[in-house]
Amino acid sequence: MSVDSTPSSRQRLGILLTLPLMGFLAFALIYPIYRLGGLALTGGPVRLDRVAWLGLRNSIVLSLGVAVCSIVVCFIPAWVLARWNFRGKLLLRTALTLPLTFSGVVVGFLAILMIGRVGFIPVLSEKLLGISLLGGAAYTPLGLVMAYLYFEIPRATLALESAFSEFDSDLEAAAATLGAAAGRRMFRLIIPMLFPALVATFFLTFSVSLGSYGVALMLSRRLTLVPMEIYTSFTGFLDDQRAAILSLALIAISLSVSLASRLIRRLT
Amino acid sequence: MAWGYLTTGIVTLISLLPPLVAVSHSFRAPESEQWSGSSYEYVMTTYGSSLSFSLKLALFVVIVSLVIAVPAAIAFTRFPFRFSGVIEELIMTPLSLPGISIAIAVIVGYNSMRGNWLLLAMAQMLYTIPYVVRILGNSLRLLPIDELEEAARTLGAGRYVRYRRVIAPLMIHPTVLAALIVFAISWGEFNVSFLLATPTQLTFPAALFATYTSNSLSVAGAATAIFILGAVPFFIAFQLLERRPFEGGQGV
Repeated sequence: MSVDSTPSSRQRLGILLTLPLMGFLAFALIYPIYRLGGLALTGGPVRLDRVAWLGLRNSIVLSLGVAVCSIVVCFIPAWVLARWNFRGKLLLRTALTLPLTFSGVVVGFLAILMIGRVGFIPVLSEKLLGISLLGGAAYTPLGLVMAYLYFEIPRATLALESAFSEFDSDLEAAAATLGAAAGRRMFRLIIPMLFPALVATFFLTFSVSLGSYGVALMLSRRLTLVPMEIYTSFTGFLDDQRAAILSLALIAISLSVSLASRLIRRLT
Repeated sequence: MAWGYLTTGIVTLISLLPPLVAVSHSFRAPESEQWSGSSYEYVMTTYGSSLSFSLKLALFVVIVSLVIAVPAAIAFTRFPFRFSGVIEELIMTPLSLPGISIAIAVIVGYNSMRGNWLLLAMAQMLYTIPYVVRILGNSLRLLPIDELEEAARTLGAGRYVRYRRVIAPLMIHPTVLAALIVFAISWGEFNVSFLLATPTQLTFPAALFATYTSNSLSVAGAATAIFILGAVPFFIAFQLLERRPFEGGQGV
């Protein structure tokens, strides 16, 4: 701390420096959410139709599945990135996290390119194996999971990697010298210690998938998903209130998930 | 050991294959099977204005985000006050909220401004400002600024000199990093851009969607390739510039 300024003058400077941000916060976040709430609650208690509930159920189940898959898929690559050093590591990280730059629509399009009716994979498997695999899968729940997974892989990998890199390897080394095999070390020591990070990544992935609009826009033909319901209510049916209610529902779910994640991390 | 490399290799392949397929489609002429750059020509002539709109918007968003967020990050880390923790948390919340909900909220809040690009910029900044705060905040917290400043002070440096020659240079690196990320975020932002899209106010991602709903895979692929081209340099620069002080979990 600098000795030639008093605590309160430092605080005043802090407030001054933060004024633009506070103004921005008020205009850009607080006021819109307030208006959103107002719109959702006009006309008394909140009611939702059956399609909306269906959408909520589908979106939640889908996002849960994607969250689980992404942790399973990204665990090893994140471990490799966090704890091994080798030439070309930068290239690897760049390659793995490149899809981070693709917004949801792009991922949806790529899914159609790869597993649409005449996608890369069905056409290739037809040529090589004689049977067409995953043709038209892009619009099915499986295809949706795959698309969302592609969307989440970079995020989950980065989140897990930063957690793994803080992992203290001394305990693991101690276990190894005491004779524990690699598998045993993994399941009885490492994974329990990493549990908070896994939980946090799970909830992060869940939240991002839940709210992802671009992918739903491209691929939710047969499956009802909340982001699409919000969109069609808002632009198609001009039912702003329904859009507002659903938007608030998503916000509420994301916030609870975020709080739950923090609670769990604090408890373990 | 081998398992690690194998899994990582597979995941990398999964990562890189789809965009490569997209780019390969882009070089096909719409009608025939020949290789041609005609789709790129088409995209540039039809959506060239969205391209420049996105670039100009991104530049604006970078500058304003930095102006708003950098002083605040300095305040949060070095001049905290009573509610600075709460405010810092608040500004981070858009990152954990669903994009579509925020987009709807912003449009509902400022319905009359729907055709104004400033509304779009403001909405994008809800995502960019938290990143600047986070990147700068992390750097300012990790660097031993207090010690350096104290050393400079004992050597006789006044407050202004200490700022200009000790603290400001240390902030260049994270600020550049933050600017790169902000540009990439604004460039790729779709939710609000799409909902606010008008013929004169079309960002490139929204134009991208238009090509996806057309019947030409080639044009869609070309537009996607251009989009990736716009995002990747920033992404790579970020990877190269980002220094990770605690690599390998060995601690410091």
